Amino acid sequence: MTLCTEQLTHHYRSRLALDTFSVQFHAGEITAILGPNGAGKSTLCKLIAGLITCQQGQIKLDGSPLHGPSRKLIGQLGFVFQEPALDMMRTGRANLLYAAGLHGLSKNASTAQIEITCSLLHCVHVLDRPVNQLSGGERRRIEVARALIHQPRWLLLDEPSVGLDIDSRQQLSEDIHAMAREQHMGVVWCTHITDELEPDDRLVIMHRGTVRFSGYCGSPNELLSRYRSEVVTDV
Amino acid sequence: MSEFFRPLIVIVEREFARFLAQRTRLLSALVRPLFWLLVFAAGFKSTLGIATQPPYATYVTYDLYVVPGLVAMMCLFNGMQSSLAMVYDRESGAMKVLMTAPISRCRVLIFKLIAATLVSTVQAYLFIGIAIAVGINLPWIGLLTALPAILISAFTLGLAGLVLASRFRGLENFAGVMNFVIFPAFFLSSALYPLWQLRESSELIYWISVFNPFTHLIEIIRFGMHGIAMTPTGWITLAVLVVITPAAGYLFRPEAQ
Repeated sequence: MTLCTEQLTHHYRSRLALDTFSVQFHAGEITAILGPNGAGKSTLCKLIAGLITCQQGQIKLDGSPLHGPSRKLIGQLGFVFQEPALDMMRTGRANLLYAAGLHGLSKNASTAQIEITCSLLHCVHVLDRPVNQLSGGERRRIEVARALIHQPRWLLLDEPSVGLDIDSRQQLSEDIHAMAREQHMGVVWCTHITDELEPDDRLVIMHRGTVRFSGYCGSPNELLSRYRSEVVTDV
Repeated sequence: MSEFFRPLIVIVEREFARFLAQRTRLLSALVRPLFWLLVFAAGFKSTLGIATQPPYATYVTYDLYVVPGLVAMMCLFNGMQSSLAMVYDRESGAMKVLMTAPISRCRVLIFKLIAATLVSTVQAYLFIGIAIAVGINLPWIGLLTALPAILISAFTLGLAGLVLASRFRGLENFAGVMNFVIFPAFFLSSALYPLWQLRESSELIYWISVFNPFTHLIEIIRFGMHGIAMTPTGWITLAVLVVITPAAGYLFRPEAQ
């Protein structure tokens, strides 16, 4: 089971955001996409999510184009966006029921799934509070729960820990790693914070829309120190 | 099948939850037409009557004449409010949740329109109920026969609002544009005066009103409220909607969001 991008190229007017970007993600594996601001991480996420259209290249899920007319395959993915995307006036539970319903889950199935997912993410206690009364960390947990509510095979995280304090960031990272292992889920994690990674995560280092490194290394910091001067100067 | 319609249910639920949570929106949706009916129309009632013209079988009082126009005005306001909410959703990021759901863009558009239509219809019937309670003499059968016309009008105006919303990025710009749509649409129509009376005062205003699609929505509601469920205009509007609604799915393409 693979999610792959083939020769993705994307421009914003004259600025090149992705340049023949090809990478393969594997089920059951956490792939961290590291790179400085402007490397093309968010563009990659938006293309995979279908929020922008591929100008060149293809995204395939198990060999089939991800964004076919039926949009069925997109249901196998869950997304956490860089900017918060919750309905602030409604409760966490209402937000999750809405997302589950959009994926076709019945009310009973949604209710059960909310309890399971939020227990794993330690956010059951905030479910019935309006989102605008939650802390940044709690909101992020609700967003991650929303991405997982329909039990996707793949989870895409676009800098999910932006704005969180160190403790919340670490806890969120541990929870996502634990869930990914438990559910044998493929995770694509765009970030520029190396603390969020674990030694057995796969790394893809991006710079100016291209892949500069793809593989495993014992310690992300070790690898980054090799590339720091050349590629990820502001990581 | 239930999996197919589940997104519709949650989209409708969300639209109603928002409508009920915004108390001022709920209140102003009712106060606005009631003000027209109880103050404006009450003043004109004693001085202005409407001579016999279809669908009225006899001379009618002005307050009875003005009710269909006010129902259409509620649909117009709600259609614009729903599209304003879409602009807000786009700004707040909530639109992304909808756009990454495994449902086609066309289905997203239709479901959102159905949700807005249902909110408009509930508002319209609340208003009609109050109008009857204050003594407006509407035929009871009209409550039933007006339903298709109200649904078609609310859907059409919701679609117009979404088309408009797709062109605007910021809330500020869009709120301004709404005034340029709502007021001309309402005043240059048969909402407040019959077309023949408009013609007596200005040929230009008459022709603008004739070509104003809002006039025709008011008229199908008027006929519906007086026992004629669907006029030829109603059928034509329905046919046009069937054709253009899927095409409007184009507005929900990723680049448009």
